[in-house]
Amino acid sequence: MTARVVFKKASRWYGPVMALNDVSFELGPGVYGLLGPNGAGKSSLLKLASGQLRPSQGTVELLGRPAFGSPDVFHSVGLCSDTDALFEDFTGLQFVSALLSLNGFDGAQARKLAMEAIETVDLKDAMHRKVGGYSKGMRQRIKLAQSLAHRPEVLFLDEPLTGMDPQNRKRISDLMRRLGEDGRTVLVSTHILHELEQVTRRVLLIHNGRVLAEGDLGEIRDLLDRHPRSVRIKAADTRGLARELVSLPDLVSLNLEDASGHLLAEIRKPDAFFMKVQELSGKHGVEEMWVTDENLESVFSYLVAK
Amino acid sequence: MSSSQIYEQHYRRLDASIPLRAQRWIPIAREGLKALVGFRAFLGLIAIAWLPVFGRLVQVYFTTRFPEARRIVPVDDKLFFDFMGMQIPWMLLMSAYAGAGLIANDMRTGGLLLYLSRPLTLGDYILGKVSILFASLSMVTLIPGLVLFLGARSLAPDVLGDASHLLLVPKIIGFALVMMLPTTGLVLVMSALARNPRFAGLGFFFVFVGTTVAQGIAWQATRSPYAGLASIQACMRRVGEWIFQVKPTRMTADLPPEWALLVLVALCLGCLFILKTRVRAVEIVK
Repeated sequence: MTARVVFKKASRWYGPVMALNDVSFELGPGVYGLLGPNGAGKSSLLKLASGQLRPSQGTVELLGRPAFGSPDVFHSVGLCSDTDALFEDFTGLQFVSALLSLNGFDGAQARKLAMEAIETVDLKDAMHRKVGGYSKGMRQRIKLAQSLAHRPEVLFLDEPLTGMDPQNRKRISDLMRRLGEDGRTVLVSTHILHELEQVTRRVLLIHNGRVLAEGDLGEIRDLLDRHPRSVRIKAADTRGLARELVSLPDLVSLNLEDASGHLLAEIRKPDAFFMKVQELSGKHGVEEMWVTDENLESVFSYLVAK
Repeated sequence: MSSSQIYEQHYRRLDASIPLRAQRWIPIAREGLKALVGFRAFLGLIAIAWLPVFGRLVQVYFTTRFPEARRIVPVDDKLFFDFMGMQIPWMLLMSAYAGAGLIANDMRTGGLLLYLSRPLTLGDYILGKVSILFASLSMVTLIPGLVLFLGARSLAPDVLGDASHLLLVPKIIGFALVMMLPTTGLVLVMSALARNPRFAGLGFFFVFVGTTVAQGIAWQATRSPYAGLASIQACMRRVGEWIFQVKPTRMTADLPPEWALLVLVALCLGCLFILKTRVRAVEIVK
């Protein structure tokens, strides 16, 4: 594997706050997911990787050069940051072309590459409209277009699917997968697991500034399945429903909440549980059912506790 | 008819091993100026700042028709010095309008990342922003000054036609630089520190006018010509008086122009230092 992004015992402090702690990994061609809850250090890691921050300790290399202080590597690097900063008075085409001119492309070449990138993210119809009037999803897509318009070897994408509709999520996920298949290195940060599943199997799990795990998404999924999930059920006959559910083998606990009258269940295998509740829904008048802790934070707390 | 795919083009590679090219700041300056020219207020400000040029040309034309008027309003170096000095308010307005948001907006919104994730250094970014403001200020100081000289020379060739008067060109350029460089540095520093264009503009006016007020108070208290060193505007005017070799004003008559120039150079260097240390793509939270 040709390592394009190399972290060697890299740490970063913001004053007394430690954003990243002793992080080491290598990324070659392909798509990698950077998965972690909000505040885990994903953005700091991306900023170190893309040379926007200097590591307080350790080294970060990008395409064989120190990531910080090597502006020439940015001919081959694209960054789609999480900030919503765009040139509001420019049209989409002008925005991407202007940024390409910073890469040294002349007017005609910049325009051609910009149009290709805009077409790739399906914004061709809006490319002559001012960026200031774009919706959240369109802004996200034009940011993505500027990051890949110069055809970089390495792409850093910070929460790239935020604000996009399902159709465009699919389109951009496919694009990311294709870029990986084509030999690019793509590091995608997200805190939503299923977004990542559509793009890659390789993930870096980060929490509290540390890389907790590095590997296949399937293994992470297994861990998640072993993580007891809390489910809240609103039903007309909660007591009757509770009687039938209590015998399920993967049930960890079952409580009836006095204040709301809801049933609170802790379960290990959610899919089997959901099917059972669905079966019984008519008999006991199940009105609503929702998982109360399916956020990544709770999953990470569980993983860290282990 | 069935077919089997042999190749599908997804993504074409460009040469990755490109060295940093020269003049990387030019696209920043070009795009910035292009954006400014799109604002009517910017063009309106330039148009108003040019009105004194036509006023002075009428004055020169008047003296060619009535030569005796030259005793009251002579066509000499002082005319150009006065003209340039009177462009200072326009220069301040232009600085606040065109310069206050140049860095502040990028710092506030994180737009600096868009620049610094390109093959550019921080120095290129700052130079690009300086160029935008420098070009904008030239529109209300240097270029009107040079146009006035060319217009006056063609209207009054008997007065300004000889070769010795060509020295007015470097004098106008020199005074314009003395006015524009510290102003550019100061407004960009305010823009980098305030992160809000309005506060940056107000801060700039406060410092510029505040130092002039400080000079007045210091002069009243001490009657020392060195009180002029406290004022950016007084230092500019004193250096200008020296460049054009005109009679200095009462408050700065005995102020050595070298000292005034030194203050302005120190101001420019200080501004550069602050810009280099304060402008960062990533907010450091402490």
